[in-house]
Amino acid sequence: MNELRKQNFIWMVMFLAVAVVFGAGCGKKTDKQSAEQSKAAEKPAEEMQAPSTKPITEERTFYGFENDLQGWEIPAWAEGKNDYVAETVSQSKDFASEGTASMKVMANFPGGNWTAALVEIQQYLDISFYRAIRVDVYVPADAPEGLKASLILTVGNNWKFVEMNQNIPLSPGKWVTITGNIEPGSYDWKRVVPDTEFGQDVRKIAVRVMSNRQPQYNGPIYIDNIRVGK
Amino acid sequence: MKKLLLGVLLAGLVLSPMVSEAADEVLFSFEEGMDGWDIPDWAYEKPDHVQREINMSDKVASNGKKSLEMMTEFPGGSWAGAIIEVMQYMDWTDYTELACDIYLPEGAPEGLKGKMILTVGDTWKWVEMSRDFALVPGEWVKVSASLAPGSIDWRKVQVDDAFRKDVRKIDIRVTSNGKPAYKGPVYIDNIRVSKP
Repeated sequence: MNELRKQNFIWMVMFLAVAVVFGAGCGKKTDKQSAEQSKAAEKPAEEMQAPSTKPITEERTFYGFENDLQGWEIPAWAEGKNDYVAETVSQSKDFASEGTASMKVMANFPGGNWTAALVEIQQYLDISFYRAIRVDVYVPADAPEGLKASLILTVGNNWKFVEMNQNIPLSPGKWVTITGNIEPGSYDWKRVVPDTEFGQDVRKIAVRVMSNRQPQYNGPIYIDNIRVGK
Repeated sequence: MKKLLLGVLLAGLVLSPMVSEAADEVLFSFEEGMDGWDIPDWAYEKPDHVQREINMSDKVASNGKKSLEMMTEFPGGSWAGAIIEVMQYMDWTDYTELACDIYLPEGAPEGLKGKMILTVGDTWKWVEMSRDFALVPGEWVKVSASLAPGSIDWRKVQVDDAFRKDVRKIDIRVTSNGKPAYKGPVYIDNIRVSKP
């Protein structure tokens, strides 16, 4: 019995000795590793580029709807979906924020549930030369308060659906401008912080007007002057 | 004086359509023949390219009395395209728009789309229009793209004078993005460039 204890004790001592030697060897840094780590510690953390705060001074209208809808439509995927309530889209001269015509979307928000009217264009665009994308949205004076609007981009090879972080409240009887900053570091987009490639491969632009349950509205929404600015 | 004014007014009324037509130059109207348009060889080898043959046709026309008829077989269920092209060196420096008219017979399904594709420059760069135009069964649809410097109508290219100066091919492609199945003709006519 004593012999057995003695043997166990010897094994334990040997194991500890091996563990100490092995542990010390593995943890030892080479000169090169040490130099790299200390260099990294000295280097300040890379800062995320922030969008410029300078005013946008130059704009270019991509879609002014002066002659036709320029390819804007209610997408086929929205047809037959109960929560997508855009019914028709047409060119209109009722109201315009630029020129004399705009895009008129007839929508029927029933209230009680989240519903949205969405129109889009599928077009390959490189808007990386610009800092922001903008659209003007108008609901007539007799529309209820509470409708909100946002821009949605579909970008890149995997057709990533990128929504704006915020839905902007519409103001009945007034044109409201929705602006999405596309500069690297912008926080205007949900789950995506744009990098330098973000604007290079835009494949769809969508404008979505939504009712988050309360506003009930059956009538027109006018969209105009979809533009980029720098 | 009144007669002179009336004369000027009448002359203006008579001449104004001629002036606006003069801004367009029709490149291909298929009145005398197919003008060199053909199905590219490579498209015969691709199973997703479904053009079968092209012919002149006098069934419909948007300019003159004849058009180009492209017979197609879109199976539905997967992307498929029908394409025709012409190879010709063209300098469109003075022009600001390229357009063509495409017609689908009544009874064809909705959902087919058309666009033009150019091959430009020494590198024979393939430049597609940045968007497709939805074709409407029973109607001529104008498919157009700006050639003006800075145009956003062409994909992955900076449109400038160099782009317009050395165009080597025009392709016209009709596509089904999976849904529409269609076997039948597509008519193409009045391929033109216009000045501002």
